[in-house]
Amino acid sequence: MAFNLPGFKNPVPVNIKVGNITEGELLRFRAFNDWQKTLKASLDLQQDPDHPFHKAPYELKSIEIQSVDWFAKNTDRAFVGFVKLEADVRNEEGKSLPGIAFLRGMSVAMLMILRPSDSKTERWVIMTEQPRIPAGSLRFLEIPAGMMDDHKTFSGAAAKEIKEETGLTVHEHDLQDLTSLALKNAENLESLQYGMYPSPGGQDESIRIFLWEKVMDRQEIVGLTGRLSGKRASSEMITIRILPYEQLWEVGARDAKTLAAWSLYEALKRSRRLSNTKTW
Amino acid sequence: MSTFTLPDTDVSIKLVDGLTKEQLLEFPAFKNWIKTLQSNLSLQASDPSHEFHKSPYSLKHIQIQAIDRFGPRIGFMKIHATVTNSEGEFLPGAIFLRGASVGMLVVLQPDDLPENSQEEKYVLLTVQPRIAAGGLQFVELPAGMVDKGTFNGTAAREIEEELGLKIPADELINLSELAIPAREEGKTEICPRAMFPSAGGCDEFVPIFLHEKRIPRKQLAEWTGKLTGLREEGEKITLKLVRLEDLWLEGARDAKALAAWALYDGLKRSGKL
Repeated sequence: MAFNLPGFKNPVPVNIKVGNITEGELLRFRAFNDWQKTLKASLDLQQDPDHPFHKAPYELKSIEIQSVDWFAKNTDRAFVGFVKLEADVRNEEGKSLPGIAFLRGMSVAMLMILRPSDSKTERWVIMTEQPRIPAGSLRFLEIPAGMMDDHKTFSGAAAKEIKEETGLTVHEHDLQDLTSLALKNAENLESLQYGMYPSPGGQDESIRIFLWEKVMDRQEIVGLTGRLSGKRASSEMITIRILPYEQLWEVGARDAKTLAAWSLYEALKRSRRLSNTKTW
Repeated sequence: MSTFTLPDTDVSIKLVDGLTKEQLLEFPAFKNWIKTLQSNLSLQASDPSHEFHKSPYSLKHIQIQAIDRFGPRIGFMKIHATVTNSEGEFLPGAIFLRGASVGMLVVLQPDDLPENSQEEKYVLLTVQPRIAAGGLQFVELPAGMVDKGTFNGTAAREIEEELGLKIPADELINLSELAIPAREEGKTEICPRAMFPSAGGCDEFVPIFLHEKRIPRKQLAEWTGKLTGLREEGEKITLKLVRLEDLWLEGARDAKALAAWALYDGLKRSGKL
């Protein structure tokens, strides 16, 4: 199946090599839509005489869709999760750019910090531990990841487990957007997302990293720590853990989101660009 | 398209056209991933306190969906692994398989400063097209491979071409391994001591290396001038020098840059570096 991607000056044929997605479904897949819009905007910037590629600009020639993964398959909530494609991007000199992309879209990660009300410096961090088959692990430690839902609330499997285990929900009005705070004053040459890109060479994924910092009674934090440090409830896929903040960068050193969140939090804090913590 | 059983297991594997069983089993990323996964799956049975001991997950089937070759060599693979337990629960198994790479934190400092000065440190960054991210000027920590004794790849080549700087393996410090101990308390899983950019969908792991060099102030000034001057038209990858304390900001979109800043800062403050 092939069709031309709308919106480009010269036709961009899209060749769908798999049988499990239609043209309509692909165009409605938000990640694909965002990616092709962003790429087009970046390609258009080459028209600027100061652009490094102005003399021999690159052009998107064609796209091949190679693999599609659906989530919640066989239900009426089924939706496209991942699309793997190869884009042919080249200039008139025949130079081409690596065009393999694994599209999965944007997500969010939360640096959830709890501070006991009787200490100015003590901090604890909420972490998730879960199987990550791509990493070959059944116990991969990360800061919580997920999505923001239509009610501006952190949602997804991790958010659900956090609510069950700790009673805490994360709402937009309690958040500081660390990636945005960092990037909005940076030199943004192109219109890329205000997010951290884990693997820009092969994936479109960008992650907005938020800070959720709350002061709580020490008793409550002690209670939480006690509940969460026991043996994992058998067969729960995600386990919630709580960690002293000082250990975060070491114990979380395998997780790109954790190191990124730590960097942004520490750097923004040191340059005094973070608002003060709320108190319950 | 053919199906075969992974030797010494009950795992069925369905190939795609253009990929043979031998090629798959020799693909380093696949070999490493399956070895790690099987080892960690086996802990469920052998450890009665394992959270999944009662209903252990097992790998049933792998579907190869797409492969990308660089010449004859397999570069990337897209696969789906069926991992399920006796209660019919499945673990997410869509995987973009590409193996490991490295991030290189190159720190330069004028050599007329005292030995333990933290002043005037600069970091090399790359600027290049990243089609997956939709950008033509994406700023990152240099990425590549460490093999045959040196840092290799496009970024390494550019660093050598522009600055004449070669980065030998014996002048590298593995920051990830400094932060992540070989023997971790209470931990029995095997897992590479490296940063995983996207463990929910990709096997990729990236150890962050440090190459710190003191150079004559004049040379640093020359390099800075060279990199900010007019560049050869249309060169795909270019370099820039930024202050170390600004790395988190200049590289705020790049997982490798943020990871390197975190590890360098953390290890320095804890005295491990």
